[in-house]
Amino acid sequence: MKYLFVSLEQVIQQNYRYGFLFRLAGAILILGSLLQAPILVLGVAAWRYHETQAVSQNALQIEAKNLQAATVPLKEVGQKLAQIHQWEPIFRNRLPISALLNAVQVSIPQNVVLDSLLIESEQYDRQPVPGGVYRVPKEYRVVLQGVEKQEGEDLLQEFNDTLLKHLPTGSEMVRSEHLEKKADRLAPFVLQYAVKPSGNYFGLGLKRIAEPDTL
Amino acid sequence: MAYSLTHYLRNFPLKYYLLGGLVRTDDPIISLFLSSENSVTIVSRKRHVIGLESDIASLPDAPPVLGDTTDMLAGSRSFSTKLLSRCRAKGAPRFIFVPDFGVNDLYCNIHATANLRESNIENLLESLHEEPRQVIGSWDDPRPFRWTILNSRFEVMKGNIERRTEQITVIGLPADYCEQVESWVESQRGTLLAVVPVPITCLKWFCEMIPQGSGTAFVMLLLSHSVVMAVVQRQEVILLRQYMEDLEIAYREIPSLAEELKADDYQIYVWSPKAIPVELARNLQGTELTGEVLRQIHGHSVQIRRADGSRVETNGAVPHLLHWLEGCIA
Repeated sequence: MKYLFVSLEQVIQQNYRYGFLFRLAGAILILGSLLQAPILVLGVAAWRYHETQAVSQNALQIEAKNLQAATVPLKEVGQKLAQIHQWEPIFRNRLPISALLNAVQVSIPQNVVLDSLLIESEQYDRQPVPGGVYRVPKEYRVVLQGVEKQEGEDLLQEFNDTLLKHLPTGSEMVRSEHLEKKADRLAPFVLQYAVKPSGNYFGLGLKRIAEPDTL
Repeated sequence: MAYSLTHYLRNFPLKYYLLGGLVRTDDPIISLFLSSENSVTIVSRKRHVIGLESDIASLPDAPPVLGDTTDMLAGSRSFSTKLLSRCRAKGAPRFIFVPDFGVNDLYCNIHATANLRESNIENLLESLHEEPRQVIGSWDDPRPFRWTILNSRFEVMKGNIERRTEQITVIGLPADYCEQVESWVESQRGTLLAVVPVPITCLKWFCEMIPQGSGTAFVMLLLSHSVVMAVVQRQEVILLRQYMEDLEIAYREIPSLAEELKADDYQIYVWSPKAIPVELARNLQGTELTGEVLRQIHGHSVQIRRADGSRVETNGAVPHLLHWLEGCIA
């Protein structure tokens, strides 16, 4: 008597509701759909993250454009600064001779007499600047010749130590030699230094300018 | 139309599944006895009757009764929702319709297989769908009908008609009414288990529940618009007649029929959805299938377990019939 005078469509619909196989299929479909939920959530989260990133990227691009627009007036200043930067190794490698002479002067012990002082630049680099090329020395050779008045005391070593303290970092003594004694018991000597220009010449006695000139 | 994955996915009962139907197996069953004079419903769950309502035809959004054109507007809640909430039952209702038709609305007749051209039930149904006159010579109803074929024990037949089968019962209902019932069931968000006309239900019940042995039983069904008389031998219905007249006219034909059938020892049974008037009962001989008789046949009364925990017993003809049919179908 079941399904008597019930249309086939209705019978099929009822089997979809109550039939074991259809319920099983329905359960699998629903569970399958639920399992897709985390993927969906992750997808939505990734999409939202992508959206946020796109928005921030757009904002950054706009900001970059604004900054580029703002730097246009500073372009000339930048060019000047670049030119100044080109002079930086030239200035850095220029040894202030007067300061070097001062350092030698203040380092000479009392019983030492200096006969000659030779300062030579060597090992040049070519530094192009607007308007030409500069030859920038990488090293200075300083040769001191003199005599010691008192024999027996290590005045030359004292002189050497004091002078090295004043010379720029990296400078080194190349030669320290006593020459043949003269008849008047004066002991001649030769000191030779390789001075590296480091740009820091405060040791030579230079002082920082209190208020540098503005550009 | 056959089952297919596409059809399943298109008609996927997602809402039903998500509302618990996926794991629920005890949806309530609402059995409806629908007659223009007497409409009764019983609500069951897990084979237990949990509600009994009478005169439901007058309620808003009531189930359709053939010939009753009263169009009741539904309230905020549907008929079945109210009914189930009264019984404190949940779930999608499953409906069994037992409508009482007039003689002109129910075709119910026994045909000798020897007179049929078709040897197959499907062919026979196809012929009935195409043109009922091919099977029923005197057919003159222009309305489309839905048909089914039963054997003598009122079981639905399929496949070839076996040679030993001497007669079949052809049942026809107006297709309009069946569609009306289906759309009403859809509006109640339920499912339709069956539409079984009252005579078919009663005779099926009679054949299964009342043993006749080798004797002959004359079963008289007193319905709203007609009287149905059936002759049952060895649990098989061998003769079926519908009368538009009253019971007494049908009753007077029994002796002559018994003589034709050479049934010297016969019993008369009378079934009626409501109590037979005393004057009429006085003139009839036979067993009235009601009250204590029904309790003895079933071995128990119909127990209604109400929501408040109380139990009410009834031996009415209709509750017994609906409860039995529900057990048969569900």
